[in-house]
Amino acid sequence: MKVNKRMKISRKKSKYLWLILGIILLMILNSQGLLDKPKDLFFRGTASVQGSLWKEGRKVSDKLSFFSDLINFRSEREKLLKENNKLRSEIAKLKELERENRILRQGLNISSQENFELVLTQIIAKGSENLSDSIFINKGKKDGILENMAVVSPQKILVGKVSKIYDHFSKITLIFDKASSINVRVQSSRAKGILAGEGMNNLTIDLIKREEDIKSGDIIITSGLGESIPKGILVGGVIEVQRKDIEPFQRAKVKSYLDFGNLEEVFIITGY
Amino acid sequence: MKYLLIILFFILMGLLQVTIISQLLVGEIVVNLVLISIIFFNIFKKLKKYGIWASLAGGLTLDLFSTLPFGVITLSFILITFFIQRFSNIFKKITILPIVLSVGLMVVTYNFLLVTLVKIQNFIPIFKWYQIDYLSLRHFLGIEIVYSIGVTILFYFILELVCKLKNVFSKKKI
Repeated sequence: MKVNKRMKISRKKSKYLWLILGIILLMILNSQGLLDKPKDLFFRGTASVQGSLWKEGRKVSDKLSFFSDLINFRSEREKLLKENNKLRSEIAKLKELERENRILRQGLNISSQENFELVLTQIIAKGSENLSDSIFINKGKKDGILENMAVVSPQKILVGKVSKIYDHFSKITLIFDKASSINVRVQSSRAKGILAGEGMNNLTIDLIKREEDIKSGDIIITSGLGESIPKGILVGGVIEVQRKDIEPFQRAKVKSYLDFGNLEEVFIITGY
Repeated sequence: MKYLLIILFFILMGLLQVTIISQLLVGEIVVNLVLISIIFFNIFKKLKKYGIWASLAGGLTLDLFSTLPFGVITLSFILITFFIQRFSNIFKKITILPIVLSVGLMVVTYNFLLVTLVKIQNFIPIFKWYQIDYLSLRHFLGIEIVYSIGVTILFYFILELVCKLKNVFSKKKI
């Protein structure tokens, strides 16, 4: 009886061992890119289900957020009215500057920097655990998407970078992900730094020189240094600056302007 | 046939997780419905034999959509299955309390396992380095435990209601 029980336990243990070895083998095959075709096949087979489930999820999430929005409605309204007035005057100023800029560019024969080639894509899934931030889109290698291309929202706010491409699908690592780091600068003072994801919608800029000017409320844009992300894409605003006397660099916390909850489509910048 | 149904069910659960559940955030936190289902499958005696296949199917589906290194979610689920199957025998009767305790404990174990496995794979040169540390768990672990326990209690009462209704209807037939 005891021998039988022991045999049963050791058989169970060996089952676990074989499974673990099998998964390690899959991990090795994946690292060599040998699982890309089967993965693409799976995504293609489930794409229509994913697309409709994602839309259903959007609806449920909208209904649930309606109740929480009601609670904050009054204070949000006041805040937005103030912001609206401020933005109106800024828009007027910017329109004037844009006109001047266009005339100067025409005079100097320089093409506009915002002539991006964009590919519209649909979000079909989101990474499933709290340790990483990623989304899945319905365009891939066959649509001209390449790894490391920049991804922006319809309002041209930086969303992230293409981290993995399959024939018909791509994985986007969001700017909040711990694996994300992007060269950025402060729009007003032109101070440079590295924007790093901290997870859970948190962002920090590191390696800003001590003598550089950075303060709460400053706007952060991409610097376009040494990567496939064009310069001048809007990222977010500084909410807190951390400065220590003994350290040669400053750090700043940044809040992204991205409203991820309402994001359904994103654009991939395929050329600029 | 039953095994195939369980595998298909967990693939569907994985798809539900990455599409619908991932949008139902509480304080920016996602609840892991696949993990909760796996715990349910491994804790009830009648379902235990399917537990490992549930972990495999659910884990591989979630791995496909994750930016974490491929395979670590599946490995964590298999280890979770091993732990629950080993230790669930200490509960004489499966009531809500042991289930809630298991979910709370396993949510912590699962997240620690994920970080540990990624750290281990970072040492192996053929795999890509992935930036991760235990400190990042502090941002969400507390809320994830509470959220998961809430969903588990809801799950448990729905299951109990279904069982009661089933009994009522089977008695009526007799």
